[in-house]
Amino acid sequence: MNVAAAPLVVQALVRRFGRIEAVAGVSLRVDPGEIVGFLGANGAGKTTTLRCVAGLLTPDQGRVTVAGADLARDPRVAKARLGFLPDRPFLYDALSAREFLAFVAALYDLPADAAERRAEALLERLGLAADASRTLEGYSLGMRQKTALIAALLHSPPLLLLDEPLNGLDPVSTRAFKDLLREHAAAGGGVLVSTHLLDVAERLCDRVVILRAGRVVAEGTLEALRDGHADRSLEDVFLELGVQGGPA
Amino acid sequence: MNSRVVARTVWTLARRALWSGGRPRRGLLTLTLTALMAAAFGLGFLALFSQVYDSGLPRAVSMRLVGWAFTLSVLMLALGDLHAVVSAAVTAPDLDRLRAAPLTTAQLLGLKLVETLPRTLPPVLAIALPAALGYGLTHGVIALVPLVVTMLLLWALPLALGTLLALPLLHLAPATRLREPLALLATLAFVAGWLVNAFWMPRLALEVTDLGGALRMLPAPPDWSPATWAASALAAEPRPAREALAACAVALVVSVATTAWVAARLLPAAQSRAASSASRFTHASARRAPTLALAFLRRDAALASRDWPVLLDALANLALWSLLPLALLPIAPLPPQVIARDMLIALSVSLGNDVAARALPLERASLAWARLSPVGGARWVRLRALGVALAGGAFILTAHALVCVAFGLRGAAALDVFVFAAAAGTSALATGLLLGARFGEAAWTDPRAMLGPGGRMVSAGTLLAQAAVWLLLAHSLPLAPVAPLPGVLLLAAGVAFSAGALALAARVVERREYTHG
Repeated sequence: MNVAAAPLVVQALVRRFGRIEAVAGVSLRVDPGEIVGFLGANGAGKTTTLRCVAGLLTPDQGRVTVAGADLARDPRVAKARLGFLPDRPFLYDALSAREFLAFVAALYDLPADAAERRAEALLERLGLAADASRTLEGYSLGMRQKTALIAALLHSPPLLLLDEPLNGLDPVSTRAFKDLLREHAAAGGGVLVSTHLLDVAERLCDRVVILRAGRVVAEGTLEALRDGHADRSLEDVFLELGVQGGPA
Repeated sequence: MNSRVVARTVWTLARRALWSGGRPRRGLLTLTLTALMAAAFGLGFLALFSQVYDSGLPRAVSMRLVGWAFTLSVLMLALGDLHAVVSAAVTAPDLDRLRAAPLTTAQLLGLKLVETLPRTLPPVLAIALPAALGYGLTHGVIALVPLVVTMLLLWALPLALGTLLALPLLHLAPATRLREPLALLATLAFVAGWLVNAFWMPRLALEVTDLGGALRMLPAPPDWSPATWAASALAAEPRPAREALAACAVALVVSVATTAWVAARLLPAAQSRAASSASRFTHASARRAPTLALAFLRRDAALASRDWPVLLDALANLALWSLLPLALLPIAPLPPQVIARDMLIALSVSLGNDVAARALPLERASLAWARLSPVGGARWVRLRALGVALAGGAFILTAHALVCVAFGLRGAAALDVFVFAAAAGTSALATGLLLGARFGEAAWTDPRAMLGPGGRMVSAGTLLAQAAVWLLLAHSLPLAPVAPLPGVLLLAAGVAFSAGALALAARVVERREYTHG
């Protein structure tokens, strides 16, 4: 894992869809060992930002640097340094989980032995090992989510981008999932996680970024966002800043 | 259920399927194609019935023609309705919401069947109605009530048959597995009908010089067929048969009642079963392939072999296309080498349409890995092209060997045929990949519709244009022993064209954006 540079630096990112400015100059940073929560109401621009950072959407303006590699100038290096879990995972339904992970390992040019060992360890850890030779078409939402997370983690990227990662996960898997993220951060990786589950963000994230109408309206540690009011929850802060009508 | 609000919503959705947001939508294409088909059939029937009327042939001849047109409409619909019923009533994405609402099974089925109208009405509107109107305009004897009753019957009867067959089938196989083969069955029946027609029409044109005499010999459609009753109700001699109209009305009521009865008993169970999708166990190695190219080939082989409706559809179409030139044999006797060239060109060009154009859409939304992973779009397309070329090459080599054995071609003649096939195949495969990249639909359900409607039209046009160019060359260049230079030039042209097409395909894949899953 390349931990010398910040896993993610986003500068003045802009993305428009026609006349709608979905992301309007977002700047944010994820440092090594940090889990950053990415919060915002529906349509705030979280998914668009994550997809721009993952290289699935081309920004209209701005700069994205992944672990020191500029996404626009050096896309291959930048993409090799990130793992992305989309809100609806990209899986091949006709492949089994093991076949799919072997294919992903080839995409990231991982050594066969190491990739196989890591895939098996992660399958075991997330309780998928027994089903991993079944084709993905019959997987439940949670199983698909876990398979996609393993695919994102397989190459131990310095940056993990997670869009609503806890969709469909049972409590046991949720715990395993959070443990994996903490271990990833402890090893020096960075995580940017978009979620609507504020209690999860509160317990899991070192810092949160709140987005509203495509703009960052607040950013910092939970303590800083509470602004000296220890009794305020993240929900209070989010409702004040993250939804339309709050102070921008 | 508030019927008025539901009807208004259905109407709004139908309107927006044609035009919304200030631009035309996909439904408009279906409507335009149906209108064009109706106009073509209408003019054809009008000319035919005029000739029958002017030549003083008995009205029974016209009635037989109407009967066969109605039979064709019923057959096309019956095959298509199997797929329409499964898609709309069992696997539609909004089904869970509707099932959770306080609706009766009949109401739910009614709502879903209204949604199938764009797919189930075209044969009635484009074949049966023009036939009836063509007859009416020339013979001047069509009344409104029989027309409405017969058209409704021709729509409802295949739907009842489709429901009767589809719902019991869903107890044997999961809906998600059944839907695609049913679509395939409908398309293959259509293509087979087209091929039979392609064999039959040239022979008919050669053999029949007296249309009147041929029409007199036209057999009557079977008496037991409701399509025949419908024809009698409209066009019987000396006047439309009241008994036939009554039979049509009874058949219409029975069709609707049967659909409702079967649906009430079998639909809920079928919908519940459809909600669960079964996995298959695989024994393939989980170890990554030694190279990226082998990883792609292994994945492609798994995707193609496990999606057997797609594979079967491609194989059947390749066979049909290869055989097509044989249809022309009795009309224009050609040297075996030219026929062999034609067959291999037809196969090679259809590989582009049936194999290469589906390669990228077969990956569905997972094509996003081309942008997400460090592989890059250009390399992704090249690796996909490798798989397609290997599959296409295997088809061409096998067909080449068979054709050479069948026509006794050896040495230079066999090489000449191969050069044509290789050049046509190379450019067709690259063009197919480009079309798949540009027009592929990630959410396809029908193996014949992996490209959007516009893309399918472009693909068909491209296929015909390529076939025309290569056939023109095949018929204008001298036969073997072929000079080396034209052969090399042909191959070079194919390779140069395909390099350009692949570069464009890579550009499309690299720039494709993924706004949602």
